[in-house]
Amino acid sequence: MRAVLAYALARLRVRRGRVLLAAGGIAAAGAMLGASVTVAYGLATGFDRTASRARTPDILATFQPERREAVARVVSSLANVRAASYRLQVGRVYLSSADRFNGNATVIGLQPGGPRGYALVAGRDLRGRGAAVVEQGLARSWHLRPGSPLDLGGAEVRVVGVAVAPDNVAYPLARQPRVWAGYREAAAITGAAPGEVNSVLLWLVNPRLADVTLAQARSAAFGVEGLRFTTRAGLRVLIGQAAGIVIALLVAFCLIALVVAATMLAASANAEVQRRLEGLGLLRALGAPPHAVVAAAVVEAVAVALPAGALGVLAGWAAVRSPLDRVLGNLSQLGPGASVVPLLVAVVVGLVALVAAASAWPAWRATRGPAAATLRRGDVVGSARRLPGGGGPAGLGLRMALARPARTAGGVAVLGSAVVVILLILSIATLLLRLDRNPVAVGKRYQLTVAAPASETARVARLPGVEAAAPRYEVNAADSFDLGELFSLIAYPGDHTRFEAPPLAEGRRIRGPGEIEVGLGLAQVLNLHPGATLAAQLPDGREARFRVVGVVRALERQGRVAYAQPQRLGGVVSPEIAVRVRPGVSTETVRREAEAAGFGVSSSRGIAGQSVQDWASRSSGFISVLVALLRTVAVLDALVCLYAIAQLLALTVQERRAGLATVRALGGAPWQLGSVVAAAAAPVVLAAIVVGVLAERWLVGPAVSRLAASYVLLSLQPTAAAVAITAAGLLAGAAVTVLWATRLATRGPVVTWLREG
Amino acid sequence: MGVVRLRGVVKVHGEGRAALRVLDGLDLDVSAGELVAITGRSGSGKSTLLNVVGGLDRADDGVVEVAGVRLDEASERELAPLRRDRIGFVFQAFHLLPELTGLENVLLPARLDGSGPALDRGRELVARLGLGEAAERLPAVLSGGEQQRLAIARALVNDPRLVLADEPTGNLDAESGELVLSLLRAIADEGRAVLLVTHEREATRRADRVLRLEDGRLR
Repeated sequence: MRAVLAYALARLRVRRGRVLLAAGGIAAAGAMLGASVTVAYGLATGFDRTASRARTPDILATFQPERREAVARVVSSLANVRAASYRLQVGRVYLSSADRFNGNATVIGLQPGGPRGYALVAGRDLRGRGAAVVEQGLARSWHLRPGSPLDLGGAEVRVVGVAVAPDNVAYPLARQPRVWAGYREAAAITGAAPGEVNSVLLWLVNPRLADVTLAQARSAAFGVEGLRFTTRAGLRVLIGQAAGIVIALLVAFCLIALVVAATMLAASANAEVQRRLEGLGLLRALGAPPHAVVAAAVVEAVAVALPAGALGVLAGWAAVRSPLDRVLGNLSQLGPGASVVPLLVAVVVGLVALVAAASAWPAWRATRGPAAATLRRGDVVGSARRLPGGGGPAGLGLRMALARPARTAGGVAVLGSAVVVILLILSIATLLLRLDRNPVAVGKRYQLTVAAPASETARVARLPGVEAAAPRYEVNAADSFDLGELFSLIAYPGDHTRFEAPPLAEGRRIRGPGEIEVGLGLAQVLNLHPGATLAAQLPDGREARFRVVGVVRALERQGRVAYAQPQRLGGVVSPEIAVRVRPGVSTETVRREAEAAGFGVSSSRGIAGQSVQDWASRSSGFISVLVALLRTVAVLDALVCLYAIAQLLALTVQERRAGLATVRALGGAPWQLGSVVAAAAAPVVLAAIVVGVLAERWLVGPAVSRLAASYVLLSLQPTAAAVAITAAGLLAGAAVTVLWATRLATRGPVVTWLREG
Repeated sequence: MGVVRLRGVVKVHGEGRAALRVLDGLDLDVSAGELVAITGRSGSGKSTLLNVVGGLDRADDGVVEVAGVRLDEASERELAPLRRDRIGFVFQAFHLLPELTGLENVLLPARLDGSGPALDRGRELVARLGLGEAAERLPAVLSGGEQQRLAIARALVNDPRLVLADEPTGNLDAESGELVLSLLRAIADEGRAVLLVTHEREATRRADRVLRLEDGRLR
């Protein structure tokens, strides 16, 4: 056993070039894994991580200014409250810096002591007069740091700390930056009456009973005007999901990247053992027991995979760390920091285990049959099957590839998967850039609305380029039991999910005119669940009652929306016609057609007013960082892709060394050897491009779209340019590796490989 | 007319104290129409000599001239067409490509050359050597004798001036070996130079000259 292990380690010392190639592949896959895991973990846990560190409240209540004592009385009557923070929050306060930046800010005046709801990332907390804590987005945009002076509503203050608070996105995605100051100072700056507050943050003893506390608070706060509640869970949905269209895409992409990298590693490790089958056969012929042969293969694999994998994972983490932190910073979230380390360690362990298992399996199989058969499998000794392809160098190369159908299929699978990932990245990047230019694309499954009576629906549906059209009713309604709670009641005849389909959080879709789906925001403030009744006060004073059958994660109006069928609205409002444009047809074309037909047309408005549409208008930096992040992962993927081709060709060259040496001995020029190698690579690369494009177009793209967000119609179909770029890149990479493999096949005297054969 | 001219050829295997001068100032001349057999004990350098003459390996010193071309001064790029057009190889292990049929193996040097007449000659050779059936099959299902005759046809397809045969009968039974040796004799009689490495007495009987390689030199 010891001798066998010593032999395995000796092989590593002697075959340094081979070891470096294998290590390079493992490192590339490790880098892809490290990057993917870091991005997926960072984005998926960003809100919770930051909320935990910032001690984000379980409930945020806003109301018209009230005396603090009055609000405190209400709070003290609630059973489940652990801590409360009373504050004065005033928007549109003039702010300017010494560097001549200026704009409007939201000033938040805090009472001394108690939890803050933000996490300091630099400097110290508020203490004394003239101090301010600014949000990280503002500090980055205006180059502020602790000690920087600010003019806040005419008062001189000095930045003492920089913080993140995940209850809103960061400036400049948010319209106004947040500046925290002492209560007295904020009241003086904003001109508020002393002692008045307009919001309270509540931390609960048992956050799971937040809905009970909300119900209590609603009844206890009778008389408090303009009272609105937002829960931490609601914030998570709003912040997480509004940006989550992109985040979910990235997370879904990273999961796919994980699968691809794992497949590549397994194929690579397997190929590595295939290459040294002859040596394994020799060990067996010399009497080494099977378990020692398998152990030798595993030791050899682990000795390479552990350092290479660790280095690769580290490099992947380093490559995405900075852009990821910037993306999270834009969302007022903290980067994963050291919390991702255990996960990365687990990735290295998993990677090494995968390589070890993929090496052990063929080694174990090699110990099953006769030793002589294993000895022979170091090379192709012959095949009784006739394969397609001519008898010249190119035909020979083609046959070399087809003589190993399993390996060729494996190569196609691995490269095809890499093509899918690259196309997916390019599609996501295209989508992001489109969002940047045209934010109305997000939020609705329809693109245009036509101002016309419902009777014109059929005519609109017949316009060229229109896929579907339906009347859309929208009224402002109020809860009959609590008239302060306003919401939008949206109605379509029949299935509304063809035009708007926020994902279901609970329950099911509506099936009839008496049923309603309510947004999560509305469900939380009115304590609605499937089975409850929603009594909607309509603008004409009538009441329409619906049975709640589903709760949906709607973004519009902070989730204060409801979807029903129009029968019970009783003609209280005239509809507009929602128009869904056929895929591949431009919205502008349909708009022109509709206008030519005499209709007034407007865009769907996306997620009106509050999230993506507004953000996108200020989001060039955000989008470009995301695109940079995607491109980093794409480059890593391309490296892995290149390695996969190199691995395949190196294996073919190594395995067919005698055949290639024979071609050289017969007078084959280097370029003719190149033809053999190129033809061996061609079926794999060309098939991978076809398979990858088809898989992305019909399988992975639609699946990721669904994974990402069912409430948005996102097209992740690759454009012709993306396909052309990917194919050209893959072919260029293949050409480089063919040149390298040809050099490998033609270096040194011919006789060396003839003798080995 | 001289086809092979070697003067003071040196070939060293290994380095430092382990260095072994396999060829040590070796001289050799082979003329057209001559079959020269090289014998010697195992490890004496017979195959090395053949590889150096065929441009498959490089001499460390001396002059190696084949068909008027100095191999010791030629680059790898220049050696390739020389091996293709002027030299034919017959190996002990046949070295037929397993993916190609017998005929495709025979025609491979002609296809590397892109020469039409050579393709025709290949087909003629296959017919002349009685390999009609074997030519349509893959090497894996052919006998050793059939494979070696195909290898000889392949060596001749570009009408080389020199044929090098390294233990061509080493993997064959007596009957097949006899057939192969007859073929090599006939090739020499057609006016080509044939250099045959062998340790079989029967092979030496067919040769015009028999040289023994000892201590790096031919005697």
